[in-house]
Amino acid sequence: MAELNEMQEITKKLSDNQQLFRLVLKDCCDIIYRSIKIPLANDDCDGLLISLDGLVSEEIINDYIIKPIKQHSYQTSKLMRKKPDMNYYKEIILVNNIASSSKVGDIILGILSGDTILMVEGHNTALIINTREWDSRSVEESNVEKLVRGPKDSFVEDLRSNTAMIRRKIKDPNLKIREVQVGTRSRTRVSVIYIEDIVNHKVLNETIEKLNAIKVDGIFDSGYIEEYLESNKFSMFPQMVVTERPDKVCGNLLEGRIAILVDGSPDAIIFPVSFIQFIQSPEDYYERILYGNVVRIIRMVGFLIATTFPAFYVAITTFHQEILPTNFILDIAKTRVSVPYPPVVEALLMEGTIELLREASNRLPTGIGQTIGIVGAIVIGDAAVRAGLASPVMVIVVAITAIGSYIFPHFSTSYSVRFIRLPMIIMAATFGAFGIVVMWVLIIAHMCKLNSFGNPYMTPYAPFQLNDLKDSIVRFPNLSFKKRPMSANSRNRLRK
Amino acid sequence: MINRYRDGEITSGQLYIMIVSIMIGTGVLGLSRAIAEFAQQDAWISVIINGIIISLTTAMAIYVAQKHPEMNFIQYTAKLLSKPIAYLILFTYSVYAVLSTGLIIRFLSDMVGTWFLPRTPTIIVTFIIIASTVYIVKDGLTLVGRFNEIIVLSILSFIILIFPSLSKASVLNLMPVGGSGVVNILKGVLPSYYSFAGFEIVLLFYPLVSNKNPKILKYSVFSILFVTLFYTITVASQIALFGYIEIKDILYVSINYLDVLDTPVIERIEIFFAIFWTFSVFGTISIQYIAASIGLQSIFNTKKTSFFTYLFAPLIFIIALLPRNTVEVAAYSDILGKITIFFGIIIPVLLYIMYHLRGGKMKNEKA
Repeated sequence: MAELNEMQEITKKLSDNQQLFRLVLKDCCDIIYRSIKIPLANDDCDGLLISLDGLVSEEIINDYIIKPIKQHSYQTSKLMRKKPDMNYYKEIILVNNIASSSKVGDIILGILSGDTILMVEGHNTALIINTREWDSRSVEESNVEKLVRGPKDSFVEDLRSNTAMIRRKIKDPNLKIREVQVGTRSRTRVSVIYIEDIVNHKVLNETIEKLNAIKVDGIFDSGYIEEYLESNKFSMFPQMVVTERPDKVCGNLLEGRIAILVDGSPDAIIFPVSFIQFIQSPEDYYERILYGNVVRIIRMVGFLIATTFPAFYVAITTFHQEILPTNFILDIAKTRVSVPYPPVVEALLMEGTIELLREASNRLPTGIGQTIGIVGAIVIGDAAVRAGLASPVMVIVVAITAIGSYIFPHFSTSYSVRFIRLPMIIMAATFGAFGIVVMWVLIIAHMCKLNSFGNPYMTPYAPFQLNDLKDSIVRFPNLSFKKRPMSANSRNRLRK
Repeated sequence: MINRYRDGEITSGQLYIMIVSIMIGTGVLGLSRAIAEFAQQDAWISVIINGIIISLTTAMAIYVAQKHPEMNFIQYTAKLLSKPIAYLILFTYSVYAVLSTGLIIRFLSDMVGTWFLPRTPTIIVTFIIIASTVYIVKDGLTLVGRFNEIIVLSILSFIILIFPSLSKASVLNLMPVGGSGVVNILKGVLPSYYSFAGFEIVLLFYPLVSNKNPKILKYSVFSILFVTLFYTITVASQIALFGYIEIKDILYVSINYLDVLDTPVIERIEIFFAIFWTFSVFGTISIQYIAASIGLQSIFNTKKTSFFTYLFAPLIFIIALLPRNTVEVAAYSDILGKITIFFGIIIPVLLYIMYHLRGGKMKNEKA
């Protein structure tokens, strides 16, 4: 293919134009070229419709484009006594979203996005008619972030449906949706969503700047954007909240945060955030306040268990047996008699097995996956104990840990926990409780150093924000939220 | 990158927390023994007297600093005490801070050796502590401030752990109040002062507070009074439990204090105390370390503290390994404790007096 000049303009001669597009879109069997004769009073005129099969609605093209052209052209041109211009066709085509352009780049992008192009002999502009329609998943209940109480809808792959879901929840003209095109080849539409009079414009401008600076062939998920925008890519902690839930996105928008939606991805990303948000779920606000708070505390405990519990067990059995009462430690020792290696090997072995099971059950079809996961754990756990490869206490510890690591509202946060747990076990095996302390000191220091778009990761604890404490590990009644959280970096702090 | 907080600056809240965090650290372990040797059952009164003295000097230090809002420590000291003296003070302070960081680290690794890792060589534990401290400190004061905001929570556990053993304590052990005599009580002020050492960082850190306001003086004094209250309760309850005669034979009273009660499931709570104590000492070390780095940084007027942080690391490592045993660590700590009187009491008072002498002059000149 010849190097395509995006700014090149089409000519008045239809045959030249057709040749040009056939050259550019050579070997694309799914492009449909439909020549139509436009009946005019003095002479018939040649027209050409180009569309991409599969992305367009046949019905719209047939009934609302071809039909009016064929029916009205003759009559009106007779009345007008002159050749109609492109605006005339714009009038008779019964589609609400029509743009015109003469740039080859625009037209090609239109075709590939599912628009239908109309070009007419003697005119050097083309109409880009919106006929987009394709099969997409319907709105379903979220699989990854399930709620007992609260709205059940979740984002789908289609960007427009997603933005519509947000619009439906916030009917405010200040809700802005800006579009940036990312990916030199995939030309993916990326929407930056914010509320104009709340958002911090410094953060917004930097986001747009960074998005525009992305140089990549293609973007297929919001995960790409996340990686390009994050300031600390190698940290084990995510610096943006990922969610499938429109209500969560809307709640965050109202606090002054920015959301990004990527066409083709059902996951929105939200920033700036702080660590505490990863243990918060929309359900905490929907449920009665006491229950919501208890659940949050349980999640925090889950986080501690998932990171430290196996390490603690290893430290106790290796170094600090005196912590536990004598008969308890003797019981543990009895079960470990047949185990031929130190607790750390046991812990790493069982953790490894759990990781294998987890990864395997993710890949299997839903129904089988769950069964295999549970059965596998029991069979392997039981068999390992009987064979003397692991002690029953260790199996319990690993099981509790595995459950604890799933306590996060969004699944992908639990990945970060694994990267803490394994080093923690190794440190505990080498230095006992001191190793655990050192690991936690390093983790806390690391978390204090992280920031999400200028917002320190550990807010509201470090730096301490008294006002934001109202919505941290416990939440106060909704009535008390008079100010927007500092972590959102909003410039309009009073809620109204 | 957008930053809401300027590099190297702290909030006023972080200043209060750092005051608390640096004061409650190593001293808490043997505090009541050291004081009870002199003040007997009235040790807690010595702590209160000491707390009041320190609050006064801190108030003086902040008062002087508040009168020079745009200047850092070296600038206003130079104005009040002449340039060479200011540089000398800051330089000796940095040296002191480095030495004291090294000793605290050594003390921590000795304790780790006693409680957690009896067979691991001190050199390895020391190395790990220094490596992690460098990681905390290398990005400047702002992050040390944040780190301490989290770490300070471990002090809560100290407070909670006071209560369980109280059931076995007897108020009789504290009687008669004032019975040991005024002289003995005053003698006890000095050893209690060592446990309070570290508050002199306000001299250095106050100019770095980003949201300076008149309330800082009040709240800084409050945080010192909070520490005083905490130490008073600790000392009083420990003496109430053991009695001052028995306490003299206990090396680390805070540990044995938790040993008297049998708790279900967890046989020895003191290991949890040890864990939280290690956390809080990391806080102390990080503040003392960054204070040393900031001291030299303002002498050489460089932009970043990280250079000095890296520079000090091997130095502190050597210092930490110099003492041959715990007895020597204690001996060196005593010497350093005497030096802190210079920074904690003499300098603030001196600055305060000089400010009033010179300040009076300046007003006259203006008039």
